[in-house]
Amino acid sequence: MFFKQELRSEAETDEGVKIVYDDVAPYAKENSHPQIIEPGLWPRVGLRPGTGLYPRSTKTLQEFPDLKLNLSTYPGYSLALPGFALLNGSFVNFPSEPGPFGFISNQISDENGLFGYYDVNEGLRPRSGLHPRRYLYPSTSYSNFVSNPILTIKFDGVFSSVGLYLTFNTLSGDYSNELNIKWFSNGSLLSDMDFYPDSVSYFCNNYVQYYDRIVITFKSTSKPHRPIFLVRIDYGIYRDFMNNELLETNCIQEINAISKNISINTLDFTVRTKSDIPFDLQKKQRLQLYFDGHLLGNFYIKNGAKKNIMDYHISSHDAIGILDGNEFPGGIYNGGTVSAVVAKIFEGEDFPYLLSEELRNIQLYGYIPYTTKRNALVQIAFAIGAVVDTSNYDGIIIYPQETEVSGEFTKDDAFDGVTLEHSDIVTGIRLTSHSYHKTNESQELYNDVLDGTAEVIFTEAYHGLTISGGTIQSYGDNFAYIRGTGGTVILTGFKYNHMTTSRLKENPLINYNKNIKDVADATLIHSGNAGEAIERIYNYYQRAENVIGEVLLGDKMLGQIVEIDTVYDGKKIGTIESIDYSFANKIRAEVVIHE
Amino acid sequence: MSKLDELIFDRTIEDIEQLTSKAFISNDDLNRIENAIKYVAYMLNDKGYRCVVDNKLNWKMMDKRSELEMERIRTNLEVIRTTFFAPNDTPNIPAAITYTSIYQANAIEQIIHDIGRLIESAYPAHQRLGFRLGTKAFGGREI
Repeated sequence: MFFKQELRSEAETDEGVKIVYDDVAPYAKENSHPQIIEPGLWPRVGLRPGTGLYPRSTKTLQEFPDLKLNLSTYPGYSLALPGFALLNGSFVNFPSEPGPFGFISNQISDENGLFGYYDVNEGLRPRSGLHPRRYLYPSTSYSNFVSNPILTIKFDGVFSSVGLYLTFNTLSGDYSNELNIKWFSNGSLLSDMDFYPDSVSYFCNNYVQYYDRIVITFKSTSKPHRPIFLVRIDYGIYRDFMNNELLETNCIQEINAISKNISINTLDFTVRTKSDIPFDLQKKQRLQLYFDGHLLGNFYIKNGAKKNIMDYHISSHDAIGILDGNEFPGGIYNGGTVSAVVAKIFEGEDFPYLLSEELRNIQLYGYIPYTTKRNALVQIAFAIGAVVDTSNYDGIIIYPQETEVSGEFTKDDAFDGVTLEHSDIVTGIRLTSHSYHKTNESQELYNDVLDGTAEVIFTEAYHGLTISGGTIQSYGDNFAYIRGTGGTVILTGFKYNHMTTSRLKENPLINYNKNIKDVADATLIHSGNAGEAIERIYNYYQRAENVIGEVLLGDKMLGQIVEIDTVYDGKKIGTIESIDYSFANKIRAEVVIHE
Repeated sequence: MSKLDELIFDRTIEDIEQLTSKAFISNDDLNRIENAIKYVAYMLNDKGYRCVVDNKLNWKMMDKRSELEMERIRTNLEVIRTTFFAPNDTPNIPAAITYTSIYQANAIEQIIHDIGRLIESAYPAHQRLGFRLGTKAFGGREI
């Protein structure tokens, strides 16, 4: 079985195509700081001196980093609340080192579920008529005001969203049934609205732009004697677009079996919404494409347009498209493992990746220029013989090229017939190996007046950087951040000697009309991996035939080796390299199978 | 009325299905159990069976039902059980108090109840005499 099929969820529905749109403010959650604060006190008009009134700064009493996660449910940690910890196995003792559980307020509501009351206890003191007896101890009286729980969320930056999606305690069914939310920007109130949730998951619908702080005041709970359990906050809403709302859906997914390039897969669609909540189309919002409950891929909004009062057209690309917009500093590699370098590439990205165990410990030798993360990934994948694939997974999968046939398209699957397409026949491969050695040849990399910080990106790698007139703040083989104070700054480095050798593999049966493909800029190809690489590339190009046609896709997946019945030219075996989807009650797709 | 009369060990599946008050463990339940253990320990000591238990008698609604506290209660159960006797049909002490089922909740309170009833009707044990050996005057102190 193709390993991607094992990753596929077994939950199958009959809902056909569905797009889940995360209409949430991208990066708002990552840049949020949910906390309880003690407001400071400053002199202001109307405030008169009084006992206990003294200026003080605002203090953060407690932070709730769990609310930056995507918890789906309360983990069942037991509190001694009445009617809470059910004896059915779903509630457990509160561990000494608990996992994430969200926000639990310190206050609990009264017998009516309200906050803002006095918690009164009449103590026990000796009095006439009270006689000593076993278990009778003196106790103190108290009267404490129980205020409304207030959660303040500060943001690094400004964000916009169509509202807040609050998830309370889905396990016990507890939620806050009255709350107030205020949105602020730079201290100014942008919006103030009361909400009355009626379930454990509730969308507080209010489109607010450019906020940097949110204050949620909880006024009551759905059950008496309860704290506020808030498991998750989403800055927006998750929308499901079903088949009957999608007017047009186009999706293309591709891989290349030897990763000579890594395609950016795309999803474009037009939706006629049935919701009265406006869309807040923002770059990098996530879209998940499903068919019958199975994930086909994740995409991220590139651009969108409102075509009329109900119709929106959205264009998106996959995680490779995101990586194509982000830079990777690269450098000289002398045995660093694939897992370490790939981890660097994905650092700061908010989608996961899955790197096959077989590839993790391969050592890299050579050079990656200062480039995009996508290009860096192409260099690595090409050098180690990996396939980079974003289909049928929540992020990016990097795996070795398949070798076994694990699927079949029958005559009935290819009902309109298939075409055999021949590419230019490549008769040989010339592959260049690279090596890099330090030299003592120095090179001036920056020479200018500098007041502040500058990023210097090198066109080739340098080592032994030195600076005069300023300081180096950080550096790599391909870059340096330097700082000057108004004078002339000179940055100097030593070159690497870049040596290349070529090897040629040709089809011995062809003596005329040769077509040699030159692979010269794969800078992670070195003497140690060139032999394997040239065999892999040569074999790929020797099979110059592609089978193209419309098929019923069934459970077949991109990257899988399949057998297909051409009817007129027997059965062909190859890797599915491209799928162009059409959605009806089944997936009908135009596939490209590279023999 | 004895503390033992308050103990609950007749929870059923219907309680869970109908979400009755017996289907949950709250501060009231924990205070009832702790008080009953303290009472049994008092009775044991009163009748000459020396034991020491560590009780928390003021469980509040917002208190966490922590692993540490449950282990303390379990140790208390062990103490009263090993100090005295228990009828043959008294449940075993659980390896860990997890309160994940009505059966364990019933067992905990039945253990306290059974031992408590037995000690209530028991004769006092032989009183132990306390004395010290090998002490003598040394300077101005006793060693």
